[in-house]
Amino acid sequence: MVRRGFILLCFIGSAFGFQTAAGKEVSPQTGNERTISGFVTDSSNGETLIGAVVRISGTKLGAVTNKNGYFVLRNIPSGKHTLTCAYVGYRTREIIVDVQTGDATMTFVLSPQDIQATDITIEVNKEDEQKEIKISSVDLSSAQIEQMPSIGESDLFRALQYLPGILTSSEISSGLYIRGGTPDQNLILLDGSTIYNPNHLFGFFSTFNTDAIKDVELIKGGFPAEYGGRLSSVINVTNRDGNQNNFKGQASLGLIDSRLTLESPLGNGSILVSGRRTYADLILALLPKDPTNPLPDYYFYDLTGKITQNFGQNDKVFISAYGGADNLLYNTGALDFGMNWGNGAGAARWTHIFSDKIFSDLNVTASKYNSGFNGNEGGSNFSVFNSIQDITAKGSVEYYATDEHTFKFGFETSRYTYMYQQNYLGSGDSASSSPNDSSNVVVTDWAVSFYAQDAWQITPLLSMQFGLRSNWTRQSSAFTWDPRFSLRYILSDIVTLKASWGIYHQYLHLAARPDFEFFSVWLPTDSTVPAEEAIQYIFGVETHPLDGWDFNIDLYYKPLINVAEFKPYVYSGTTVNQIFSIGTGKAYGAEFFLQKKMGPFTGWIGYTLSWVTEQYSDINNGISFPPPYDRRNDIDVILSWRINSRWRVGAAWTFTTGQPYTAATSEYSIALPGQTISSEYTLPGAEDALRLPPNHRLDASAAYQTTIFGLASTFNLNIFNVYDYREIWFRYYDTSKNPTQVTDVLLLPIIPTFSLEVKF
Amino acid sequence: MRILILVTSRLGRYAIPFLATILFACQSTPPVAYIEQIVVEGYLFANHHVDSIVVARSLPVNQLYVADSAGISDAQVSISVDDVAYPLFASSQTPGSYYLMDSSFIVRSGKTYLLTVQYKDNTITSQTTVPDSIKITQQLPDTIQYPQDTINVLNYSAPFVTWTGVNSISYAASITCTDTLWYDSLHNIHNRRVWHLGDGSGGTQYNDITRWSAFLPVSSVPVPWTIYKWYGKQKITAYALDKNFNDWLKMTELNGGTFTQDLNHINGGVGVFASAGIDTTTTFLKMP
Repeated sequence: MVRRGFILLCFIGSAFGFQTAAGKEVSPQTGNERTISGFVTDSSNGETLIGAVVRISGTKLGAVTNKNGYFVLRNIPSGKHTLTCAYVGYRTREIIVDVQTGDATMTFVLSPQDIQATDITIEVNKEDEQKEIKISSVDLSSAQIEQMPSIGESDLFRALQYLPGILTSSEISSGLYIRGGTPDQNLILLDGSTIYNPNHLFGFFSTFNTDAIKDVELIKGGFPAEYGGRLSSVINVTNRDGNQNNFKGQASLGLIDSRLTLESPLGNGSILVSGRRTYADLILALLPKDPTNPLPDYYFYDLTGKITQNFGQNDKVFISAYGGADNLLYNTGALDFGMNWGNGAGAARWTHIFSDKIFSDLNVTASKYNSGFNGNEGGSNFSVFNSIQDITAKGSVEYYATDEHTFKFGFETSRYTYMYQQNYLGSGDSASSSPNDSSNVVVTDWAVSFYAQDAWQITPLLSMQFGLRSNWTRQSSAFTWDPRFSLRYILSDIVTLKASWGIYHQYLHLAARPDFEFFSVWLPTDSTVPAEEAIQYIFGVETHPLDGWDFNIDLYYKPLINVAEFKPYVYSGTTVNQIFSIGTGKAYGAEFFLQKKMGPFTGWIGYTLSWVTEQYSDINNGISFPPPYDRRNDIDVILSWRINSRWRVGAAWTFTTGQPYTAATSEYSIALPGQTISSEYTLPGAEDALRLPPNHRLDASAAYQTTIFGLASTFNLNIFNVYDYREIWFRYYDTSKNPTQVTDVLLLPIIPTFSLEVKF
Repeated sequence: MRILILVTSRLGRYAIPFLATILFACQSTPPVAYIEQIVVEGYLFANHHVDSIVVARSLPVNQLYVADSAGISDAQVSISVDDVAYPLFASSQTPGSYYLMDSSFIVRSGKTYLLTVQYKDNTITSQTTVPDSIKITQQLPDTIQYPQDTINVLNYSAPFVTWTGVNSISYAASITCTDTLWYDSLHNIHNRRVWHLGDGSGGTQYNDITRWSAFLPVSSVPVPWTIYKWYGKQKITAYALDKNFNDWLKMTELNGGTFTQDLNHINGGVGVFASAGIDTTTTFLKMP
């Protein structure tokens, strides 16, 4: 441990030393160079824009705004310069600045413009301006998410499923399997808070309300040292700040739910409140009830709020909160049961600009996921409650040391509380502990991480990013070290090569059945199991063959070590290794992504060829097998056509190799003592050795924009599963029939949905 | 640190049928190749005689399952304890059932019993250590009245059965209706089934006279009104389970009957050879 600590200190020390040396040798200061820094914002609402490019015309100098919309241009010679600021979907803006003495701070205000209008020809290649190397990274705006065909309403996770390398366990699941990783291996952040179970409606929708989303950054692999605690990917969702100029609102009325978003200037900033709720239960409540044929009540809701305040040019504070829950009630008179699950999260962030070179973030977050069910069966009460909660403090400093080096340092510390309570004693109506039941537990854990990384522009064409993250948790009493390394080489104006290698550790394990993500139990790593580990190798080629077109290829190879597979038959354990099988795995594949971003006709074609295998000593006789999310081929085609100023139509077609399943080789019959009728059970063959037929589905959408009472309105029609091909959810053996019947449980048929959106 | 994961399994009992019924449809597909395995079934109870040990073969999935076809009657079966082997003989009437030749043989708590089955070239073994015996300390009344409001029975609290706690893996309980014949001919009552909302028209769960409740964390269990299938005399049995028994219930009740390597304690085959400490009590359920 001491030796490793020494290595870390050397690394940080050398990084600083390197920066100083590099600064002197590569960019000698003449005393006439200036720095321009500032923000880029949207003129319509004052929101900062993430990923906008600021350039000095006629030079190679440029920068890209970070997550806070902030940019820094360094080493600008004194004199007059033309600064250009561009962002997809906004009119490019030019400003002439005269920097004679001192450094300049400024804000670019860009006006939105329809990205599908034909007169837009500017496309921004950000690579040469990007300090940080982004590999396997996708940015999605709420507008892009909303334009995708959906069922009921647009949904972030359903949109992400159309990207190459991303799968779900079924079309009714929003759990994302990214490059062979399971949903628990994705770090999901909402304004910095971890969201542990982003599901509504049994996984059908994610918890994210697209009306409140500003930006989504998905990193499918090779994420930098500033992110940790997960093996597979990062989904970083940033909510909108709210309109800083005017009071605005948006309402949506749909078949499944309705949404309302209000935003307004507030003080030196803004406030945004957005919520949605389903209302099938409210409608059912109005209908007469038949006690012999009761119907279940179900609803979900979520509410998002954010207050942003600017304190001068250098300080910005926001407070963000999220709360959402699902509730199911089923009362039959003989059996009453209710299930509920939901997330609550809050974040307070202070962003401070120390100088034009140093930018800092301090974030305090809290997040809780809880689920429970309770009921009364024939006069006997039962209840279960389970939750995970974290309180986290994290901070980072971004140091634009020189044109060649951008450093980032940070820490993160979390206090976790895991709770499980049950009461099956028949009395009591809450999840209070059953006396003498030692399975009721509250476990706390501490996790601490530090990281440092440097984005180094070695030459104008070649850059490198290296970082190191250290992790420790109290329950495991173990340190882990995560080195991360990325390279980028700009081969030409249209071709960029990227490569990444890194080690990733995860201390949290998820106990859940694949199609019951909504009822998951999180557990820490204890001393009986090591932290899960992944080593990621990625090679990517990014090209821009034509204006408005991207074509990217990513190859990845990801060995998995000490991964945990939940034993579905375990109901109790004193240690983590009793609840999970610990094994190894391997995921590798190639992703091809052709995207057209501009013009009236946009969309993409994605193709993934991939393999995933797992191996556990206590499963399948220790022989490796493909898990259900091993799908050899995955094709996604997304099309969106802006016919005119009023009409837009879209389609999404997906094809996926069928999921592996375990077939039965024979059956037998056994009775429990006292039983007069035996039960039949099947004996399995090799694990997941056969495959179900492939899945494919076409979804379509049409949107019509008009005005109602002078308010901008949009009618949306979505058709899910246009040609009514029923996906197989799972195959099972119905042993209650003799002979046993092999049966496929099919998923959803064609479903049309409508909604109306009004902006005011 | 003690951790418990009960949610997903118990949840499945309610949520899976709910989702499957509400949202989805089914279709049939063809089965696959047959691989035969030897199946063993045997339960030992503290302070009780050994009932039968059943030896059978698994049968193809796509054929009509006939128990007599599955039974193996030409195996060599024995139970050993304290290094003494007690042979069993095959029943001439029930194919696959074996009985101890020594009818005075009593199963004792704390003893480890080894089952050996020799069939053709296969040797199947399993062993179980018998938990302590238990005694029911809180019984149901001799007669209990089913609630008058048969639809809203959950408004009537369920009585409890409690027994002495012992050092076992877990507890279980079963309730058996011991008299399914009608008993009230005077009032010409034809239907002695207890009606529950949502009752199916058939299936093992509906027709079998015994219902089980497993994985009880403490030595006490409520007896809800929905657990009764017939009115009349009921036998309630409490079990203190050994690991084999507990794992068998895990496989069949928690894991949907999916064979699980970890939970199978039959070497060279599949099935159950398990033991328990048990006690029984009775009550009479009167019609509303």
